[in-house]
Amino acid sequence: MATYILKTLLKALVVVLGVSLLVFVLTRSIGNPVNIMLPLGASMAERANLTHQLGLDKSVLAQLWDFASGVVRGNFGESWWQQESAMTVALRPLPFTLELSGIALVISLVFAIPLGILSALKPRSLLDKLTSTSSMFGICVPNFWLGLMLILIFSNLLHWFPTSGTGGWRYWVLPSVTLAVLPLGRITQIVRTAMLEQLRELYVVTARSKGLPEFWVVTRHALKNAGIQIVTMSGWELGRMIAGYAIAIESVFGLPGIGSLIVDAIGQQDYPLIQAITFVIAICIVVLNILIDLSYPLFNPRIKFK
Amino acid sequence: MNQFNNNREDVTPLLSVHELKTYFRTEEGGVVKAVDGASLHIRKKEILGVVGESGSGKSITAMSILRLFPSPPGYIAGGDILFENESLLTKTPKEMRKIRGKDISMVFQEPMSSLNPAYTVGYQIRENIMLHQKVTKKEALVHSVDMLRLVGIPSPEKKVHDYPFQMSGGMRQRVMVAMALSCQPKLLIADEPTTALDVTIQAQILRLILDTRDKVGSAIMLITHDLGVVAEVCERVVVMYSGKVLEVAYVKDLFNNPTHPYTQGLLMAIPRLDETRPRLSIIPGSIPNPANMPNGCRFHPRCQYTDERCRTEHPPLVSPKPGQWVSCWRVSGEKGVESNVIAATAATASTTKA
Amino acid sequence: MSKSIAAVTESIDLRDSRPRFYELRRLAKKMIKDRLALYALIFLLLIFFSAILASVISPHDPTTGDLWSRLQPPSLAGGYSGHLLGTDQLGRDILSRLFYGGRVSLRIGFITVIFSSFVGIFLGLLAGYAGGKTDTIIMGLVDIQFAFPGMLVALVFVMVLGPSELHLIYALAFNGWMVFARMARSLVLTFRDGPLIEAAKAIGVKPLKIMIRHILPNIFASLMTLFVLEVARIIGAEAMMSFLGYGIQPPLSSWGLMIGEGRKYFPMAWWLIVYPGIMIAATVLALNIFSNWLTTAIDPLQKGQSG
Repeated sequence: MATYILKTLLKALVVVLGVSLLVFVLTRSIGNPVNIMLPLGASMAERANLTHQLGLDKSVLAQLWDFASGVVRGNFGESWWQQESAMTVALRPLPFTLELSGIALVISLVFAIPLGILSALKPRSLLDKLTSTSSMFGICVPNFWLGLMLILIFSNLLHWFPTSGTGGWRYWVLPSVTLAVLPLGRITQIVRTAMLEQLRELYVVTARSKGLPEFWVVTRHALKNAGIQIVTMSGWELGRMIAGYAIAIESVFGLPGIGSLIVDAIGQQDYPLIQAITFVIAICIVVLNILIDLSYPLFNPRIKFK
Repeated sequence: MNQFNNNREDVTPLLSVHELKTYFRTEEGGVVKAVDGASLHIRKKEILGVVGESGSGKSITAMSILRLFPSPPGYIAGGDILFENESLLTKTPKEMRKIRGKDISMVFQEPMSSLNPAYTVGYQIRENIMLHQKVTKKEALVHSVDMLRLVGIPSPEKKVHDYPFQMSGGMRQRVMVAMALSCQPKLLIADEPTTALDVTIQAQILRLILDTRDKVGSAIMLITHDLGVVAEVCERVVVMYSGKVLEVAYVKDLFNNPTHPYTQGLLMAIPRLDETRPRLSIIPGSIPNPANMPNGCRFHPRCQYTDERCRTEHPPLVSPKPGQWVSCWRVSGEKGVESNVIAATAATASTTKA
Repeated sequence: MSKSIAAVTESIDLRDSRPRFYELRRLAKKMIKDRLALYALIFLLLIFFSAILASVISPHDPTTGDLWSRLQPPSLAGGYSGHLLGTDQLGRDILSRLFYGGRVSLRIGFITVIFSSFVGIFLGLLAGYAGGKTDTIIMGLVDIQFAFPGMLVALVFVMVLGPSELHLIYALAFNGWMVFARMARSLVLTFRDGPLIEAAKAIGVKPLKIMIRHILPNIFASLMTLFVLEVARIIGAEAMMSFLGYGIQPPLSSWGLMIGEGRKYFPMAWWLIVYPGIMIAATVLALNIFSNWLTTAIDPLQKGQSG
């Protein structure tokens, strides 16, 4: 068990380092930020000054060392755009995105798990076909477009919800529902597949032969064994939400999350901020993966003993 | 070797299956008649063997008793199953659940996969106990340990917290038996319990099953394709073929004097040390396709005594001797006797055994 | 003895005993049975051909707009008759832009996945055959990169390299090779030491020939399914990036870009957004349906069934 935890943590560490390194390499490899930041008519002296200030006159290795030591301390320097510590700027909108993604995941799970189970219990029934179709649609519709369509129908036509921005609970409905659609589709599919697989196993018949109510057989026995796959997929989707889908949704609904921030940071070509945001998101994903990996022993006792 | 309980005060059998028909609907709209008119009975504390090849319907018969077969494609098309004089077919699912695990339990073929890998062995036994009896968790745990001890698992107090994957196949099968017996069932159905195990373990499990009958007092329906197992452990035998019962007899009678041509063929096929034969004797042909059964007697295409009647009418079970039943025109001849297993059992119960 | 057996088995090519194009005929029959997959394939072919023939079938030039007829609704909803689906903010015909946009989206989808699949399959095969340290390193790389925030990395890629189509392809392909590597590797492992090869060796057939003749088709089929799924995913990803402004740049059109540009005029000029979105959804859907069908069609377990 201890080795398992260690391995998990080690992998996480490597990922964080890898992503940070990647961003570092990318941002240093092309172009000279000095040229971007200064107006065309800037003098050589001004250029030299800024170059020195940004530490860009040091050798690459030296820059890497600065970067690495900064990363370890969580220091990415100052955001060029916002004149604040890049890390501070990056962390500020994070809770919002986490909250939005969390709500979306909960919505997904609330529907996906029962639907997936029911579909598995009655394969090829009408319910199953409907569920398969709608989960397929959920996966294929581009979420930003769906958001716009929902705004069209529910905001502009029906006036049930506001179009964008933040505020009371109404402001959360459309964004979180839109964000939830794709994970809902995927998780439903995985629940269905995993449950079908488990329901075919002999231990299910044994459980029934003991006289267990069907509900228990399905939830306590089959679902538990399907758990790993479901948790993995859910965690995966949560990670993809934070690091990807949320970007589009926040843009569509004008929400102040970390997704919006990175779009702006890229627009401003604010390298420190971009690095900081990438790092923060990478850490989030990594922590999420750690949590998922650590939850496996709950479902598969074999891991406890390795 | 077999201890017959000669004091049969009750005349009614514990369980009797009468002309059971369990069919399965196929996707193309056809019907597979997995069990097509099977009749058998088992008395209290009796060990009954049910033999047949794969596809003979023996497992489905067992599953039908507890209604464990997959129910959208499968359904009971006819016949009756009486347990302690009550029809199981008319019971609601809730009533069936009370019977499962408590009055009638089952042990399955694959010990490697018939236990839930995510729960400890103790949990799974405890679950059965707490489901049917009003006891606390602690009491149930103690009882589980006792059951493990009963089935011969060493250090049961420790093993009760083990997971199935930590045990060998033989041990897991013992756990299954422990679980099945935990509520002292009146009938234990064992569906090929030793098929997936080594021969040496097989012997142990069979001994365990015999002990069970003595200690717990359950009747045992032992389903197998291995005639050797039958000879060693069973008191009476039912021979099934293609969804029907062909012969029922006491073990000694069956082995010494098989009546049905199929049974004769089976016994002839067993290689013997005291004879020299140039070739193994076989029963020609193969079992019929369940979706496409032959008319008349199911066995007639492979039988050397086939005549016109065999081809058109299926022979009913008749009793040429007390305690013996055969489904064959050679035996019933022109009698065309309608058999009623339950009534006839009453008649044979009072007669002495051969 | 083994030599003569080998000679015999080599001379009897069991595959030839079946009629020509057996596999294709079987697949075709199955497809006709599964209507949905058939429709999906027809749709995909339509998209494909309209992309190729975009210049021929487009009623208007997608890049030049007539400012006098800007923001016209679809002709059936009251717009000008020459523009079936309306015009955008620069007076460009929506339908034509859809055709050309399809061309761009499909092109990017295919090229990206060809890149990533080549790299991935190569690395996966390598890891599978070589085993040992090579395997560990490559698979370690796969695991690590799986945990990368893909969309984010792609955005940063494009930002840094500059938003051109080629850079977009690099960005999208970067995080796409891992699935291919994993699948290729597991397929190689299944066959390399599997009973199939052992049996072949046991009867003296040259393993290499058997591997090429029999394994490759199986691997190919599974990888094809993955390929189709990945194309669907990349089309969606490209749409999102173009929507955000970091993908295809004007004056080129891609479906995602049309939605991004049309946002300003939403919801009044709804046709700017509705049609491109439908196209994305429909294409991705058709690809998914087709991929699902492929999986069931090539699955050896199902081959025995009717059809």
